Amino acid sequence: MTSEEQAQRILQLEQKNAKLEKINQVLISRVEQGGGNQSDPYSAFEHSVQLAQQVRDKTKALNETLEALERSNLQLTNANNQANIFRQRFIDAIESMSDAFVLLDSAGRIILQNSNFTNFWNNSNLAVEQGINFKDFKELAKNRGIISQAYPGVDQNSPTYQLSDGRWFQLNQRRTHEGGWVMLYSDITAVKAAATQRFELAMTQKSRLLQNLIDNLAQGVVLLSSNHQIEVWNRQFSQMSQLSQELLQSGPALAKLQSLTQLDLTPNNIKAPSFKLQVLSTGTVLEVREHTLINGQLIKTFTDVTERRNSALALQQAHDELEKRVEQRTGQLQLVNNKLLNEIDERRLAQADLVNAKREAELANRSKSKFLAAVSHDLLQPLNAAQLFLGSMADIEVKPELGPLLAGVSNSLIDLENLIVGLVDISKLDAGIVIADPQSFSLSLLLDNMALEYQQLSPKYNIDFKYVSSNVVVNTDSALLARILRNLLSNAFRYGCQGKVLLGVRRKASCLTIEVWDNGLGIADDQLADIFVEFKRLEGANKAFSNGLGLGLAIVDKLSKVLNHPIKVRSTVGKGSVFSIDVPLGLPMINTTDNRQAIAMTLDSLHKTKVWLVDNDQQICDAMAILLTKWGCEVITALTEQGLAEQVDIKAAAVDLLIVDYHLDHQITGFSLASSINQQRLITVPVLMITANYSQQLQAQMKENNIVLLNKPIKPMKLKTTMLHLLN
Amino acid sequence: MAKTITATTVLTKPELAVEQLYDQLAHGDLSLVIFFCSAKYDLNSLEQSLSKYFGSLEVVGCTTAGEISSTGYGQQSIVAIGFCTEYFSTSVGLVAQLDQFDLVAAQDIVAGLTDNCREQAMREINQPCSNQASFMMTLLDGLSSQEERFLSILHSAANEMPHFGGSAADDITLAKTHVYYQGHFYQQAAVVILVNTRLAFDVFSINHLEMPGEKMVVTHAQPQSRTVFELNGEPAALEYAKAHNLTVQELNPSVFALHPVAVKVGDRYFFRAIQRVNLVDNSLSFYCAVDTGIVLTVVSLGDIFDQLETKMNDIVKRYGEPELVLGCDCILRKLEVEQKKLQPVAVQLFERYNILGFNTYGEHFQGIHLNQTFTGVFIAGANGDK
Repeated sequence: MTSEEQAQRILQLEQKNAKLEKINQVLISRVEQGGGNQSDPYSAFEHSVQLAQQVRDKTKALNETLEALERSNLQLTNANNQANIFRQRFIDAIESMSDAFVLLDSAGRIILQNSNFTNFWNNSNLAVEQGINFKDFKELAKNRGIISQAYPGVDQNSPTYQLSDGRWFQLNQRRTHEGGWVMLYSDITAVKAAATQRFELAMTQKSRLLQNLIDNLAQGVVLLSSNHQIEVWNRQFSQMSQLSQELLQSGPALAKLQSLTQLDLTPNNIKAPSFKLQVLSTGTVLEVREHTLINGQLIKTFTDVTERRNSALALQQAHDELEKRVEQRTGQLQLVNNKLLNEIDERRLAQADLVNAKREAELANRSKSKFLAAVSHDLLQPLNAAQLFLGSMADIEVKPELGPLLAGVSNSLIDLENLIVGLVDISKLDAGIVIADPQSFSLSLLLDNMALEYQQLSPKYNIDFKYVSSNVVVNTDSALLARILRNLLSNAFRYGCQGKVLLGVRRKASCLTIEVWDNGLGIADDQLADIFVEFKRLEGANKAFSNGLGLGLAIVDKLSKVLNHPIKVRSTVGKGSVFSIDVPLGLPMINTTDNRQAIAMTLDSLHKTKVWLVDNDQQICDAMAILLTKWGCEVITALTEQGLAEQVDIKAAAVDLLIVDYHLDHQITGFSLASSINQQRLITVPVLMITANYSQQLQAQMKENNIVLLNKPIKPMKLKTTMLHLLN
Repeated sequence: MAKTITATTVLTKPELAVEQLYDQLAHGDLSLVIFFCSAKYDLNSLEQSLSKYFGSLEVVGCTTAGEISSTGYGQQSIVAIGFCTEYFSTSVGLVAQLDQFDLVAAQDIVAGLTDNCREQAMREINQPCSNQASFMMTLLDGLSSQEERFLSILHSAANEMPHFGGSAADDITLAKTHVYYQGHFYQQAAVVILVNTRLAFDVFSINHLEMPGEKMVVTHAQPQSRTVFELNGEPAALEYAKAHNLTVQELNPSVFALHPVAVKVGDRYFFRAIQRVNLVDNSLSFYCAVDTGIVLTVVSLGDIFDQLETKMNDIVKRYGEPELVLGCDCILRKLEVEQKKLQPVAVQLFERYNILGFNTYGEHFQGIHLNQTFTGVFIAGANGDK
């Protein structure tokens, strides 16, 4: 730096210094002045600023304090107000009470009282006010005699006081929190008065009621006091004793009363429960009773028993009379009784006779049945044989002139058979030994066979026979039904006049109607009933049947009754007739074996069939043997099992069929024989049983044991078909 | 029931203007009318018109550097506020000789005003007239340099009653400032108004001083004329211009408005508003008290309306919506608003809070004389709970 520059610099610095010094000086003087006097504008300004600051601070503090003060003031005011409100409420409450209220502190001094309380004491000329010790006051009251009586009350807290002026008060008191008392005096004078009044009223009413009650008693009642004064009586007593109401009311002495009346008024005379009867001069009877009460009072009752007595006497009389009558009656009854006993004896005898008679009748019946069975068997045996012999002749070449003769014989035999069978049947039916055994079976089983049979016969009688099959299941006795149908069909053929016959079936809702139609002569209406009568035969019978006994329809009729299937007939003279029988439907069988198949025989000949025949009738054996042999069978016959055994090896010999008669010698049945044979054999042989026994029992038995039954008389055709059937 | 009635007129003829004002105001039973009029009016005519129309009604007012209403900053207009007796009891007084004002005088006037007010309160509103329910407003002729002293004395005599006010102004002519009292305009005088009301109110003052900066020591000043000759030993103007990077020629009121200085008292800064440059000696004249040895700080400005808005919000929160806000707004703030074109913001604010008032050459607050502030009273619509 140059000196000029330096000089300038120094000058600058000096200037600056001067400035700084000036600044310094003014600042110092300012500071030292320290605010100065207020007349200086700036000082005044400064001062006012400071003042303002101070004011601000002070004001703030003051405000805060004021606020707090205001708040607590407000709270205090509120609290005060609340207190006042409550106090006022309390005062209002106790003023509104009708009772006298007083609040005492723990020392017994009055803190608060209501106007009722004040008034009460004022009325008694005693001034009571706050601060007075109530205990002292009560003493004073007592001394002055204001309170006449004090009653402790039900619980210790509610004593009752009766005042000398007649008023009643009840006191309710309790301790307060701070150990003082609250006392409430209730004026109960009115209540008491009301209660007393009510009580008295009730008492009066009760008395009146009681008096009414006893007045209405039928008895005369009187109550005597313990010192024998009449206290209570009733109207009845007054009447009975003839003592007037006024007299009784005046309360006289007992002795006096007694002198005035008949009634026994003397006390303690009777020991209860017994009684005394007193009869008055008027005839009245009185029952007098006494009851002594605990307090010495005595009740006497007088009951008018006159009526009763009279009734009793009358009753006694009636009783006596009654006894007399009873005796009389008894005697009469005795007689009647005897008579009856006699009658009974007679009856009993009669009954015994009847029983005997019945027994005899039964015996007769049984023997009849036996007879019938025997007859049918014995009659039929030779017949059977004859037919068999005849049968075997059928295919033999004979002299032409013999033909019609043989035919005649055959027909006669058939007729004979029919007659016998018919008679036997009728007899059986009359004896009532035919019982139906209904089973469910397919009708076709029965009808198809039957139809086939009659089909065979139709050319013989020149009948155009038609049959409509039906496989409906019916529930009936097939054998009996078969009989009926056979009879009907035979009749149709007989009276058919070489016309048409139809066997058909009509399905109805609950039953099946089997109908046999013919277009023969017909039956007149008036004869419809007659045809069912035994031995009745109509005109126009076919010659071939002219030897019938006329039992056919009678049997049909009786059988239908046994089966309980109604028979109906419709007929027009000259046109024809239809006989129908209603048969109940049966449940379909599960068994589906179609027996029709069986009819369609696979085997149509008996050629080389090995047959064993056992029958105790030699004739039958011979006849059968011839017949069977004719058919191509190899027959071994015997009368007994032993006989058979001699001829064949029962055990092992080959055999296709065993035919055995049911009735054999020595009480042996064909059944047992067949069983015996089959037991011996390894391979069982089918059995065909021939019998004249039509009984249900046998049929059932055979069925059970799978033995086919064939009834005598045997028709060759039937035999053949049956055999074929069995052998298939 | 109206509490306050506001009236404005832009009519330039005094007669017509006053008539218009009267039409707007004559609807209630008023206890007081305060008006702020442009200094451009013929004050004599104005005096006559006012007497004629308002007659016996108490009217006070002052001249302004501008009128504030809901339309914003007005120029050649009159703003008037009527206070209804139902809600306000008022009394007014005049202090004619400001330089002879002392504590005794102050006490006298305060006592007189208080009694008057009380009487009115008892008569009209029938309620006790307490200090807490009253505030004081002062309108001063602003060119006297006795303001600080007067205000300080008055405030201490007033027993810490809330106080605010403004110094009468004119449009920078700086010669025609007046206050009006009982039919006449006065200079070198002060009007004191005592208002007692049952409405809640809050007296406030805000400035938008932001950051302190460079310090300058006043090394030579003349308090009486409020002139600073030297700053830091240099001529004041030069030093000031240098501090703001300007030339002395460039210095004008707008510049002063935007580049303010402040003093620190206690821990608060107070604007010191510069009035003009005296080119003859490069001294600076101020709108307020200055003295040798005080330290001026260059300060930066914040948002001019921010503080005001915040203050308004606060008071609204406490007392509810305003009935009226009487505001004394420094001339320099108006200049700043004009510079920064913030008139719409001003209008919005004035309308929102119903702010009426005038632009001043200085503001009064709790006995303190301030510059470059917005000072006023917020009168709420609801009753005060004091």
